[in-house]
Amino acid sequence: MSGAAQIFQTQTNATQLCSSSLGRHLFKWYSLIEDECCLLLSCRGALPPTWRQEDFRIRKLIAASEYPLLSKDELRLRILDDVLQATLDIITAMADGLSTVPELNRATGDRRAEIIAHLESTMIYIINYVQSLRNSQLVMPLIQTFEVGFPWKSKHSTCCPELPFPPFRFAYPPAGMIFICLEAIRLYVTVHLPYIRALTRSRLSSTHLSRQPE
Amino acid sequence: MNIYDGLYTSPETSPFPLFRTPRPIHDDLIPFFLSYHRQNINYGRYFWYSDPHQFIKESLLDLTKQSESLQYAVAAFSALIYSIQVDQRMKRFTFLFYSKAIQELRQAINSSSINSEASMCTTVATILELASIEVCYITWGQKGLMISALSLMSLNAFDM
Repeated sequence: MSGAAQIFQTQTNATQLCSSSLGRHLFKWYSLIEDECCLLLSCRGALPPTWRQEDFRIRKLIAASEYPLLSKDELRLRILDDVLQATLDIITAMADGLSTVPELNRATGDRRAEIIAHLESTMIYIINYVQSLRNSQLVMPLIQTFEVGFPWKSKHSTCCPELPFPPFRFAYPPAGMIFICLEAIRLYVTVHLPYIRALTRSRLSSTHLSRQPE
Repeated sequence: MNIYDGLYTSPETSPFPLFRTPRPIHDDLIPFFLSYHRQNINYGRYFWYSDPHQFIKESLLDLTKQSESLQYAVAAFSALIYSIQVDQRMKRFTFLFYSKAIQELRQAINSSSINSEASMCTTVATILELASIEVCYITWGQKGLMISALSLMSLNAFDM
């Protein structure tokens, strides 16, 4: 993957690559594999985040001119693709946060405090990003749900507990993937944030104790 | 779809055995695997969430016409899926095509021929296709594709 990143950086630039349909597809493919590698290996991506920002910017530009020309079905598919790409853009921040965790275990003193602060701000940024995307005018109608209106029955209804929430359907079922991605990212960060906050508190209290006059 | 459709398996069954250029049998299978890719493999196999422009079904296969290394890489991926869906014995073609793709890719990179946008795209597509094979293989809990491919290469167990 670093080879692909190197070719991108030496042979083209983000604007040129994302200006063609083929280039955007290759970049999407690259991003998906890079995301998987970064999350599994807890490392940063090989391309600077500006490449994703440029991809997002160009997609947005093209959307403005192309969306009105698409049929209803094509439009929904296209929005789904663009929104999912925007959702997964946050993975660079997640990978950045994850890659600092091993250093956190080794660091002490001010450096440790810096890493904790960086992690906390990264996590808050991710939660805010996911929240704002979910509440955006483009995503809200896409992930609209309606209640099924009857108890969910399956072949496991007799042996397994009931669903912990009322069953619902998506008005546009393929958009369920956006919902799952956004929820998965939000839950992942929400679960880990208290640990980082606890580290901040313990550091603050130890600093406070050490500075108290004898 | 049968892997042996349109192929002869022995010189006796070939209509023109004397005039045929000798080629490794696995190269003859490339059209089969590319066709299998077109008909049976969709974006989900690449862990894509959507593909409104039919990149996986169409554009990628169109790109293979411009690059041998990409052709081998796509055939390798297709062979892997074929081995999962139809016949497990065909997995060896994944390794064969994977190794060939790496060889061709190395040649393309060493010859500094990545000077046009088209060749840059096919080179990157080959790398991504090979990476997708690894991701697929690891995801399905069968680690060691790289090791198998590399050991095959070092043994030179097949004609290149």
